[in-house]
Formats: sequence, structure tokens, C-alpha cells
Amino acid sequence: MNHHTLEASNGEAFPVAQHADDLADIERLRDRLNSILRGKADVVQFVLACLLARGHLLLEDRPGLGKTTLAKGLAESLGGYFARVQCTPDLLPSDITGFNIFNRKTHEFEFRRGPVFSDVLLADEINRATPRTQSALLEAMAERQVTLDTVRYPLSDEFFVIATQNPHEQHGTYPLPEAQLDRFAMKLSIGYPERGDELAMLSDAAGPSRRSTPSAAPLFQPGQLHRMQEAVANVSVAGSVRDYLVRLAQATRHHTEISLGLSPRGLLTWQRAAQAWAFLDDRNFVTPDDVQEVARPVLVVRLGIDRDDPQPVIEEILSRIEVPTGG
Amino acid sequence: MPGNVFLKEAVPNKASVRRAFVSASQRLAWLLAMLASLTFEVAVADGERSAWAIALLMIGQAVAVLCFGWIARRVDSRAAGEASSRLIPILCLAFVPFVVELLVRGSTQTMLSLELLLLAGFRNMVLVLATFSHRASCQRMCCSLSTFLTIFASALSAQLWLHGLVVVFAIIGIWWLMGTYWETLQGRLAASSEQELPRRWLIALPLMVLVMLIGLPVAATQTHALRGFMPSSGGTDWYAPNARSGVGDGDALVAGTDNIQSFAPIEDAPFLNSHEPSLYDLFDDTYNEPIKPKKQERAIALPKSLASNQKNHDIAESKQAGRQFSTLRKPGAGPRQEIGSLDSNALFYVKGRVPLHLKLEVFDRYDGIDWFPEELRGEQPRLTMESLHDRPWLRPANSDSLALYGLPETHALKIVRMDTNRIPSPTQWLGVHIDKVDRADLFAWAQSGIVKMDREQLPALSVIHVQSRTVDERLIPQAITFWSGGSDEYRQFGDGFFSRQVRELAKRWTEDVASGWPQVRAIVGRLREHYVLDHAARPPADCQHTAAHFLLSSRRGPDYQFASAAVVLLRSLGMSARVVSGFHVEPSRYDPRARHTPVFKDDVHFWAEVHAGGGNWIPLEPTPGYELLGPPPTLAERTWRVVLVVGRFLTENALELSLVLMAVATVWIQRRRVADLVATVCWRLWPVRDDRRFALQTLRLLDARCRRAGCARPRDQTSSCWLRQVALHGEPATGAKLVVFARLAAWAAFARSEDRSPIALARQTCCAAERALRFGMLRKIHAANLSSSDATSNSLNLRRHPSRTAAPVEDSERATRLTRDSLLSHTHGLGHHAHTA
Repeated sequence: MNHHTLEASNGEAFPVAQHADDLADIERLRDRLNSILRGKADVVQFVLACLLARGHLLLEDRPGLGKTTLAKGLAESLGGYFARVQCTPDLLPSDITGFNIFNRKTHEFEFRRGPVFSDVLLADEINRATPRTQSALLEAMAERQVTLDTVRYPLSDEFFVIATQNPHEQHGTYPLPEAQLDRFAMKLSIGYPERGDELAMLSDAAGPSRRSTPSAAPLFQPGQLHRMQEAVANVSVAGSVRDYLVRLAQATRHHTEISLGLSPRGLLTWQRAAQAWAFLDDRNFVTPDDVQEVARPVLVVRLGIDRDDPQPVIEEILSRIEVPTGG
Repeated sequence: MPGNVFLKEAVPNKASVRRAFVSASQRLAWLLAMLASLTFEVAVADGERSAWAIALLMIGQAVAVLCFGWIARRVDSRAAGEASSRLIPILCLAFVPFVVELLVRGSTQTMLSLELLLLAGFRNMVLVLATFSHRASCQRMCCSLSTFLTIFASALSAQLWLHGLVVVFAIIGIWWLMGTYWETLQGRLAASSEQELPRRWLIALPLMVLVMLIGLPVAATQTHALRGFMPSSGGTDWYAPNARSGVGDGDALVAGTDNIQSFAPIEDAPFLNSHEPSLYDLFDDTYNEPIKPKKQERAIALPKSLASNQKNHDIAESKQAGRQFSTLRKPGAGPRQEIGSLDSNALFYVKGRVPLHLKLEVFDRYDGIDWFPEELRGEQPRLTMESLHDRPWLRPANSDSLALYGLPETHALKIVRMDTNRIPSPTQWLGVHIDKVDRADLFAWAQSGIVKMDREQLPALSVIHVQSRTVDERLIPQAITFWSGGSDEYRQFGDGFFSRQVRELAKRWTEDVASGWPQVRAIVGRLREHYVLDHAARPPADCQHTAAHFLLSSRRGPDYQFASAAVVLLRSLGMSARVVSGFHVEPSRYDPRARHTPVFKDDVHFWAEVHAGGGNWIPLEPTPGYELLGPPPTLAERTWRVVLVVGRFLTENALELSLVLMAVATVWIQRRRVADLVATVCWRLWPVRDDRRFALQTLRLLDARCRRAGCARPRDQTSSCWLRQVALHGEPATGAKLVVFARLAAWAAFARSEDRSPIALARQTCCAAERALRFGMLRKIHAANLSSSDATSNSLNLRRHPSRTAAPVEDSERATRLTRDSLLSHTHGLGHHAHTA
């Protein structure tokens, strides 16, 4: 065995044994999402992290870039009950949460469940719904329950909202309020594909050798996602990394160009996202790298940045805080 | 799988962990060692060091023992089970003091005596053994040696409280014995110390004994090889400053103030009378006896009673001044012996600037052979007693002195054995101070410019302070006339055949120079240059005029011939001149350790003086090889002298200095690399046992290396990210190593303490990373960075890398590729998932 292969075998020796199967499933999920959304491996990785962090996802981009396709593919792959709401200005809150209906036979009101009683809820073009409807999602997303006429209806353990929206400069949209935005874990943009990816996409979509659509069979066992989310919550965060997170959060609150700093809930979300990122990297501890990696999608959704492009501000905050080196 | 094997090894050894804590007996052993060392230090100090100094020393030793002991415990607990006794290096430490002592003796004058050196060796061993006292064998040996050290050191010193220390030591020692006994009982019957002498000792010990047996007879005849290391006592007549006992051998002798068993030239020593040779015997010893012309006259023998009276009278007279000095002496060099004992044979010591001419007698009349001592003529300045700083100073009443002199300075003469009552005085003495002698009537003029004490001889073992001024040659007016004043005796010059010849010679020597001081300089210069000092040369016994013989025919002779020749020549030109005898204090005999210059019998000397009027005499030194003391140097002169000395040193050692300078410059230029080298060596030599901390240590090392190489990690960038970026600049294989190491370092820094390393062979990974990230490579990156267009930032041109775009790293190769890709994508712009397109 020469030296190089020895090193390679070191590289393989990273296993965290209890998650090996889970990671294999995640790998398959990643492959499937990658085949659905070509050339966007980084977006897929964030989507996975968001899923494992048990956070809700906001996809924002122009029409036709594959937001809905990605959301649908994810929902199908996860298994469980999938619901979809196409948001329009005339959509009512009860169209999302469900409503009581009087049963003439039993002479009782019975609850007709809305689409939130699902495992994956796709809220398409959420910014086209009126603010009243948008806020109906609030309770469902934050507390995973729906309260109607003093009765509390819990949602699924794996309840996961993927919302898509078009950039709010476009006509006929209602920008999401800050309170609503803070309930999302991440906001991602997909962006146009590369030239090569578009060529491949075209060739897939035309001609006799048309590739069949990926199999829609669920990849996860029932309860498996929940178990993985629990495992993510157990990923350890060293004191120095926690301190790093707090310092970053404080920096957002004192920044001149940020009108709304990071909320404690946002900080918790950030930590969980970093844990998920570490889990995806097959580690059971969080490093400052994880914090930095997930910083952009986590912060961009919830910081009130008085600029069109929030990226430089986030970069500046990250560059201002010293990274812990441990030890 | 090989990794598993190494993982097993990484599990810490429980036995070694148990060994890492400090047992009670070890603490007691430390205490014993410290007590022994304290006893030793007290014995060495011998009352000369303050308690604070000793306390500081002890604290330093204790800290050193504790620190090194801690390190040693750690090292031992890591190198589990192979705590082989390294006794030989420890034994070698016992010899370190000897080597150090040799060096110290080579450079300075101080020295320790042999017994203290031996004990210092034992002390070192005790301290080192105390450091390793977590090993049972070392602890036992430490305690035994401590006992030895304490007993012997306490026997060396007379400090009373040392007895208390010994008692404390005994108590703790008993405690320690009990402790070790109980610890052995507590059940480590295992590993019952099977310490038998190794075989090589079985051979070496008899060999050593044999060598000693063979060496003894040789050593017995060659004992002087041990001189200095083995100061003995009692009449060996050689000098050992550190001899602690015996008679007359060293400075460490106790000054006899109460109970006189020894002597030392100290100020408060009691006056002793001794039967030493008189002053005139000194001259006769040095220059041989004068030739007494055998004048046989008819005489009648005196009756016995009268004859004995006459004898007594002669002896009594010989102690008084006023005996002429014959320049016609028996042939042969005087009994100039090598000085055997610097201390015991010295007549007196001089503290102050040397060379110094100390007058004892002045001669004025010369009959061609004999010089006759000057007689006191006329009124002498009155001697008065003044008090200066509460000390009595004898001063002559002011006379009209010319402005020829430098600043006054003081010399201290420590009289040991001078059988004369005259005070040796420098050129122009201004005052004399002897402690507690405050009456002027104890002093009287012996001759002009020379004072004597009104007693038989100078008090032995007393210190005489003499204040004087020296003539500053630059102040002598060139046109000074040397015949004003002074009695005729100083100008006495015959008019015989020889005298005429001498006068002609003087005129010949001075025909080109102006009269006055230039003539004096010409004559003295001529004598110093063209005449040879020869202590053995003597004029023939029938010589009529020794000065003329010396000047015209022999041209060589002892110093009195130079002096009388100079005086005769000066007188022939009409100047007042006289011959002076006394001592010339040799600067070459200066003892830097005692800071004084001893004066011996051999230092008797003759020189000349020329009269400058008003009772001012200018000393002249016509004898080659003797120098007059100049005035005290001013600050500028001293500075210039220092500059000269430094300049000479620089030019003489130009090669070595330039080499050293170049080496220093190279080190300075390469200081970052040197610092890195030092850090790396430390890292390699003293690695931490724990994998996690070792990884962190390596990370710190690499971080510091990057910083020193000029491409420091930005504060906002994580270590692993940085390592991955740097890895891009190296070979792919080395880059892979760095990536693997980055992962290990992240684990070390941020994982829970109970988590196992994600990477087997953690140490090898660290070492591989250290090899992969060479200083030279970092320098190249730095240089490339500087030359690149974006040279504004001191750090790498690469910023925080964006999100990883694929699966978690499983393969280091793949990781490198990924990082490279992600970096490329970063440099092409990061806008894939920007908020707005």
C-alpha cells in the first residue's frame, strides 16, 4: 500500500456509524434533486440542510427557473402527504387551514382539513396571496398547529413548507411581512442554469431518447426524516462556536445598514441550520465553517437590509467577526 | 485495516495515567531536596549573601524543579513503561560545576574551593533527581543524596540556624521514610524492583578502581596538577585565594581582630611588631652590598664592654635615615627570585592609580661614588592636622606651588612590613591620613617632601592614605629655568676630569635644543633610548666616577646609574637636580580581584628630580622600562582611550566580528524562518500526548508559519477553509493531506471531548500536513501574491470560499478538486444564488 492510497483510506475513515444509512438515503435524494434541477448542486444542498434543520424554505426567483419543479420533486421524494396551494389574490385563509362545515346528518360542525394538514406543503407564488392569507400560514409554520374556533389541530411532525415567490418588483404581488419572513429558515434563489446544463436539459426534453421522468417513489421510510431531524438537533456546538454565533448576531443588530437585526429565533434557526450542514458533512460537531456556509440563505431572509443587494452587507459582517480557532 | 490497529494504540494507558499524579512521598522528596539545597546555598554564601538573595535562589530552584518535574511526569506518562533510568546523564551533571568552574576561572578571578565544587555537583544531582522523583528509584536516590548534602554542607558553615534546618530535614526525612513504607505496603508488590547493576557496570567499576590504583603513584608526584582545585594549607608557600584554612595562604582567612592567628592588611587590624629586614637591607638585597674600601688602619682593640656598645650604636643608627648610597656595588644580579607568594612577601599594597613612584629618601651630594642623603635645611612647612569628612588629615602648610600639577588624587598604602618610619609619598604629597591618628606631633619631616612618623617604624598592617598631585607635563612652561631656588647642594658638581667630560657630553646632547625643559627632555630621552638597563652590570671596583663610567664607557647599568647619570648631566648644565630612592609600583602586578597592587622588595627604584623653583620638584624617569604616572585622565581623554581600545579591538578582530555580524544579519533577515524553525523543532521534540491537542498544536504551528511567511490567515476565515485554499498552491497529493488535516483540526477544535477522532493515524496526518505546508512554499505564495495585480491585501488573494456544491467529503482527492472548483467559481463571481439576478 503506497502512501497515497493510505491517505485516501484515511479520507474514507470518517464514518459516524449511526447515520450511515440515513446519509445514503440523503445521497439518493440529492441525486434525484440534482437530476430534476440540473447544475444547481449548491441549491440542492441548501434545500437538504433546510429540510434537516426542520425549517421552512422560501424559494425566490423569476418564473420558469424550476422552483415548483424542485419543490414537487422534493415533496414526492420525501413520501408522506403532499399538498399544494396555488396562491392568488382571492385565496382565503380557510382555503389553507381548512374550515368547519355543518354536517346535516350528525347536526354537528365537522372540521374539513385544509392543505396545511400535510407533510410537505408547497405554497406556490406565496407573494400573490393577500397579507391576510399569508398570515394564516403563520401559526401553522411557527407552531405546527392550526387553531380554529378554539380547537387546536396539530400538524404533522414532519410538516415542511416550501414557498415560492417571484421577486416583489413584479406586478400584483404582496411582499411578505418581516414576521412572516422570520418563520422561514432560508431563502434561496436558483438562478439561470449554465450553458452546458441548459444544453443537456434541452436534449433531455426533446428527441426520441427522451429521458423518462425520475421515479416518484418516496426515498424515506415513515418517520425517518423526523429521526434525522432529531439527530441534527443533537449535533454538538462547541462553546467557541456558540460565542461566534452570538457575536455575529450582535454585529447584525449594530450594523448601520441593517434596520432589523437578527432575532433570537433567527439565531436559533441559524444554529440549527449549521448543525444540519455539519450533519450533511457527516460530522457530529459544528465548525465555524458551517456557520459561515449557511449564513447567507439564513440571514438574507430575515435581516432588514436597506439595500437591493444584501450580499455585501452579510459578507462584511462575516469578515468583521474573528473566527474561533479552537484550542 | 491498518487504521484500526493505530486506533487501538491511541487508547490511553491507564497505568500511565495513574503515574501522572503526585504522591505524598514525592512531595516530601521535593521538600528534602529543597532543604538540602538551601543548606548548601547557605554554606556557599558563608554570610556574604543576603537572606533575600538566597531566598530568591531557592524560589527559582523550586519553580524549576516543579516545572521540569511536571514536564517530566507528562513525558513519562506518555512514554508508558519505558521509564528506563537515565542515571548516566544525571551523574554527568555532577561534573558540570567543574567545567563551569574551569570556564569561570578562565575568565574571571573568582573561584570556588574543591569541597564546594563537589557539593555543587551533589546539589545538581539532587535537584535533577527531585525533578524525576515520580520514579521510585530516583526518589530514593534523591533522598539519600539530600541527606549527604545536608550533613556535609551544614558542617561547612558556622551559621547557627543551620542546625535547625538539619533537625527539620531529619523530621521530614523520617516522615518520608514512613510514607514510602506505607506506599509500598499499599500493594505494589508487582514489579518488585529488580534493579541490578547492568553488566557494563560490573566491568566498568573494577576498571575505574584499577585506573585509580595505577594513577595514584603518578598522581602523588604530580599533585600540582590539582593545584587550585585542592587548596591545601600550611607552608606550601603558594597562593590559593580560596583556601579556607591554614596559614597565610588565602584571602578567605579570617582577619585577626580579636584573636590574632593570622594577619591581613586591613584598616582596623592591631599594630604588630615584627622582626623584618630594615629598609636598607632591602636596598642591599636588591643591589648587593656596597664595596667597602679596605682601609686598614692601625687600631687598638676596644675593651669588650665598649665594643658591644659600639655595635649597638651602629644598629640603632642603621634604622635612622641619613646613610649614604654607594653606586659602586658588588657584581652580579641581585637575588631576584620569582615571587612565590603574592601575599606573604609583599611589603605593602597600593590602592589607586599605578605606576606610582613613592619617595623614601632623597640624595643631594655626590662624590663620584656615593650619594649622600639630603639634610633638612632651613625652615620646613609646618605640619597641621585637618579634619576632612571626620577623618584626620595631616597637611603641610601651604607653600608657593607652581601651576604644574594635575588634580589631587588619593592612594591607599596598606603597609604589611615596612621597617621604616618614613611614609612613602608620591611626587607632591598634599596630605596623609592614618585612621585614628589625629595628632600632628606624631609626624615630622624626614627630608624635604618626605614625612616620617615619630616612632620606630610605620605601624604594620595599617592603611595609610596619601593624597598627592602628579606633574602634568603639558603644564610645564617650555622656558622654565631650573636653577632658581634650591640650595647649592643640588647644583654641586665637581670640576675634575670626569666632570668636564660629562659636561661636554651634556652640551653635545643639548646643543640643538632651547634651554630649560627641552634640555631636560633631551637628556632623559637620550638616556632612555640609548642606554641599556642591566641590573647585573657593575663598574669596576676601582672606578672613580661611576656616572661618567656609565655615561661614557659601559652604557649599561642598573637604575641608580641612570638616575645619578641624569642628575649629573642636569647639574652640569647648571640645573638643580637630585636623586630619589623609593619604590616603583609596578602596574603589571596589579591584582584585579583585590583591586590593589602589591609592592615587593624588588620594586625598590631610583629616579631623578629636577627643581622647578619654590620647592617644586619635577620627577624624571631616566630608566627605560619605568614610567611616570601622568595626571588623572579627564573625561575626554578617557573617552578617547575607550574609543581607541574599541577601535583596536574592532580592527584586530575584524574577521571574526564581520563573520558574527554577517551571521546576526542573516539570522535577522531570516528571522521569520528561524522562528519557524525553532517552533517546528519544539513541536517535534515536545509533542503533546493527546491526539486532539496535538492536532491543535499542529494547527497553531501552521497558522504561525503562514503568518511568518507573510500570508497570514485572515481573521474572519476559518482554519480549514484557509488550509484548503493554501493547499491549492501545492501538489495535489500534499493538498489532499492538508484537506484531511483540516478535517482533523476541526474535530480537535470543535468536537465534543468524548468524540473519537474521525481520522485514524491522527499523528501521521498532522506530520504529513506539517511537511505539506513548507515555509518556502508559503513564501512563494506570498511573493506571487505581491506581484499579482491585486497586491493591496497582504493575505492571499482568495476570500471565503462559497458553499460546497456536492456531497460531503469522503475522499481527500475529491475534496481538493471540489475546493478548487468552488474557488474557481468564486473567482468567477458568486452570483448564482444572489438575492436578485
